[in-house]
Amino acid sequence: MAEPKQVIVPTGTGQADALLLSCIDYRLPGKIARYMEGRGLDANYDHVILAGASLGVTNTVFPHWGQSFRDHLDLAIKLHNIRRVIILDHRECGSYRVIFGTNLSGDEETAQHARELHRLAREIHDAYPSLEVEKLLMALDGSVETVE
Amino acid sequence: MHDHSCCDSISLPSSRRRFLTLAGLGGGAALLGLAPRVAHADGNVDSVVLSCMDYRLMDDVGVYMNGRGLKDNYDHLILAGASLGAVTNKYPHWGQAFFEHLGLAIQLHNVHRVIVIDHRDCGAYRVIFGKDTKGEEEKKLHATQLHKLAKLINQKQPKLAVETYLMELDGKVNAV
Repeated sequence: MAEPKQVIVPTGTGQADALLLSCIDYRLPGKIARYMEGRGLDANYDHVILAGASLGVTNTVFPHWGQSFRDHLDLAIKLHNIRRVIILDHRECGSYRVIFGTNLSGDEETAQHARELHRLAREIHDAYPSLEVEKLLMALDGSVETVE
Repeated sequence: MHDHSCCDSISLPSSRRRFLTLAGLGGGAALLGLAPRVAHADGNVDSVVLSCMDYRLMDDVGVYMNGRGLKDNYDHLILAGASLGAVTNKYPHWGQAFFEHLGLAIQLHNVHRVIVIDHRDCGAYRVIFGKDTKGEEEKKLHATQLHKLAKLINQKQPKLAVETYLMELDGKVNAV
């Protein structure tokens, strides 16, 4: 079946609270699902995954990833009328280590994530001022802190 | 260390080769969660899972993978439409992003299979094809995209096993 040139965007296909952006890391899917369930958002969020989460979008090494995120955000708004974006980075992230060539922990690691989280949050805010954006950092035990 | 056919197959520019080289130089620290203190210290992860972004199925994908005994043993990629997201011409960045992630998962975690999970009533299929299909017609449309992606993966990564599935909205999964 060929793809048509004119794309029909259906409406009324449901509503979700949020779009979640998280990392590919195999240690995290269960913890992320439990975190979202604990917030009462089970089956109420679209999910997109890129290595590094925020850094997956903001890095210049893999430019296709950022455009993929922007496309998915646009679709989540059009299809499911999401009202917020939850960006969930995590500690001990290999993508951060490799792209920055550093291996940080503690406050330095938090500050490094904060820069990318804020950078992406600003971009989202500029493009979609009405969307709420949450900037979160998960530890490997599944605990989550807000990054200000 | 495996050969670098994965890297060659996705034609990494020099900046990306540096990315992977750095990963190789990382020793105990590596990319995408390959940490020395976790279960997969040798870097072996069973699979890459590609599924859709749809909010109705997030928990079902996790339940399905856990039921197969693959909890914490798969790198999870998500693209709207799952297989269609990776092969569509409408969003060419997505396919590139998919194969870059797949290449990294092979390089760093030695994944040996790809599990692609489409689902019924998929908004991405409706958006991209401009058509709302049901029943057998819907299944055939998914089968076409699933097989297209499986063939592409097989061409780029012939050592990988590829499994293709269609999930019902109640979470049941059927091989396609």
